Amino acid sequence: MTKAKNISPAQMIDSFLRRVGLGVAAVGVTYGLSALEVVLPPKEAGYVDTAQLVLSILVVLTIFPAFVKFMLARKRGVCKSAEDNSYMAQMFKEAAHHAFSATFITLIILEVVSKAIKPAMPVHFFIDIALFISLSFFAAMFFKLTGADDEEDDWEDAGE
Amino acid sequence: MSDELENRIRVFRAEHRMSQGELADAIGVSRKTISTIEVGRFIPSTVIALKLAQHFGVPVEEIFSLRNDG
Repeated sequence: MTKAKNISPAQMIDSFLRRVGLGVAAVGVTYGLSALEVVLPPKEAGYVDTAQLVLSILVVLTIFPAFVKFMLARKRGVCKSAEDNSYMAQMFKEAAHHAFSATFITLIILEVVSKAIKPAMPVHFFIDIALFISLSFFAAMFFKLTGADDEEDDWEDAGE
Repeated sequence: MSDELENRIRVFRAEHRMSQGELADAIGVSRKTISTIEVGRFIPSTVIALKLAQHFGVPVEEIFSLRNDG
């Protein structure tokens, strides 16, 4: 007989945020590929299109089930307190602050670079680069902040 | 002058024979939240501090204290 897996709302939020982090990383890579497409020859650009499609499907498959679960729990009102007191939620916000700064710096650099590049690149190339850096930076910061090892600590180890 | 928050959650867990996961479930947070508070990486909200104190049946000051480095 299998034991039903019982996950607390707090654990569910952590798991959801982890998946969102992965999803954001994948979307960031998609924008990076889109920027790359502009500079690649048409044949290679076709492969990039396929990679983008695969990544998009992965993002939907990764986030959608967790998102539905999260929204249902939120509707029942079981998530609010857990969300406010979650370490992962705090780090999510901190990663967003860092990503905002990185995006701002990137936009300033891109403004300078766009004037220097000859021949001129299409506008969407620069937007894709900015989004790639912004989202990738966010995901990297989030996993850096939340990724330190913290193995389950049993009570037997706690008194040592 | 820098103040650092110290905590005795590990000690109280040992006394109550609880794992991080059990304590997390008892006060409605995730295990990661408990483990990061224990090692001092995460400063808990007043709500979490009060919930921990309530759970262990002690005043908050017995669990959390400030270490003043001068």
